[in-house]
Amino acid sequence: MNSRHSNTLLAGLALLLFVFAWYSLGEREKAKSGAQTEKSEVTNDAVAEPGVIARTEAGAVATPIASPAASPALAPELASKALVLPLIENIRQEVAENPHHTPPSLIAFAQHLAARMEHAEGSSDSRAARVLFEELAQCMSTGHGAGRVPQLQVSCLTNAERLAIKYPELRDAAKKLREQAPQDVKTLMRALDQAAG
Amino acid sequence: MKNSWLAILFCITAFCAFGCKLPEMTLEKLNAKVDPGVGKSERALLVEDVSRISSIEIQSAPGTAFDLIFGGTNTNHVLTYLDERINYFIPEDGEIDSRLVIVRDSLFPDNESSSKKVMTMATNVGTVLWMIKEASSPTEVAFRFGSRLIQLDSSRVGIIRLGEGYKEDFAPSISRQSTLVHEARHSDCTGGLPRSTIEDLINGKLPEDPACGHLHAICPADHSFAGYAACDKEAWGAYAVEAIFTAVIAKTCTNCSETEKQIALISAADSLSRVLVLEDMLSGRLGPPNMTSDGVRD
Repeated sequence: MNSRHSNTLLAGLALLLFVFAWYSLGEREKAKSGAQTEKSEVTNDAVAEPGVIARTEAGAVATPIASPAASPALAPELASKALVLPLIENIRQEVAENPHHTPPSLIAFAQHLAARMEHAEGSSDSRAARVLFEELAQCMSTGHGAGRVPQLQVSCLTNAERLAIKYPELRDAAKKLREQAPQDVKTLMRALDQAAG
Repeated sequence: MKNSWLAILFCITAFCAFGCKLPEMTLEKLNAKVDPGVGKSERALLVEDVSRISSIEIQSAPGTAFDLIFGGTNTNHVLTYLDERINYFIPEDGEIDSRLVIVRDSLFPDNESSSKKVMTMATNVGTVLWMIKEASSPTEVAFRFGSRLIQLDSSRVGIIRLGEGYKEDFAPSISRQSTLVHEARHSDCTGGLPRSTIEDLINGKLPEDPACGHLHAICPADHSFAGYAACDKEAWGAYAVEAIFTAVIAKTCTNCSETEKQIALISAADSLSRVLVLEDMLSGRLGPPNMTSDGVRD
């Protein structure tokens, strides 16, 4: 290879590396400024009529719903879908994979419930609230003994009571739900109030 | 001559393209340093999470558990709490042993995790490294962070390893914030580390008293998570502290989205359910939270 060819090759290689280095620096700056990461939006595919509570199949992990950081506005389609109660088997599987933190299916449930609560409380009449209340009441009666998830029921009962504050016709039913709640749920409800000061 | 210039240009560009990692970064509002090996997406999430903590508006009163734990009644006090307990963030893929200047056989299950798939959000490795250093005494052990050596002088050295789960979709900001609060509590060696415990550590036995490092316990048979090390048998451990943080957000936050409040609610219920001495703790029978940290004692 003559010297003119080797010069051209070297220059080409240097140019290529320069472009790559330029790109890397740009990416680094983006990271430094704390730019938001792109997140794919995953939706919950479980379809059921509102008012009929759905449960995930044993062995299947509930699909996480889009994170609030990714989409501050809640996905509107969630507001009209029935709540999906994660199964204890799935939750235990998630705890086995990561024992220290709140299981993803509980977080997905909370995200779905947020959409339903916003819809129910923002409606001009109480119909959506009554439908949701029924589902929350079913959540309180679903699962017995080892199949029950007290953390989930605390969430259901807290939200049922919140609906009852806004819609007085639900008050008696909410009171009954609290009275009939399992002892560990009652304990957690009291603890939650104490913890919040 | 022309050849020499091209060669120099080639070397400079090659160095920049392959030799530069992301620079070490210090988080604004939190003095913790982020290792060059932590990726850009995790960095962006850390910036977002720390910034969000300081902007959350809550209503907490003096003398409540929140006040006693975080040393004040607003979320800026949560940042102070984190600042005292978290100093370094390192990536998950970094081998801990390779960063120790004197390497012992691992006393902690760091290398086990590669054989069974466990996805963590974050792990506080600082306290265990400090225990290793104490168990190795008089041999000096330090931790390599970027180009410098960190002295493992106390449990509050605060080295947090960010896991793969930190950037997963299932982990929204409020969950990551509560994870940082939880992991920070593991930096406290409440009551100190007895010398007898160090002997146990040398023999590969974990301490029986969980207060130093606020180690978790196996959940009992009647618990939803029976058999997993996902409970606390002591008062005011990492789950309790996390529960107070999330419960206050769930019940009193005035500028949180509905989603943030719902996630905080279920996280608080979940954390509270893992405290095995819940009623005695919240009734005050087990005393107020002790947020101090001590060293080795006789």
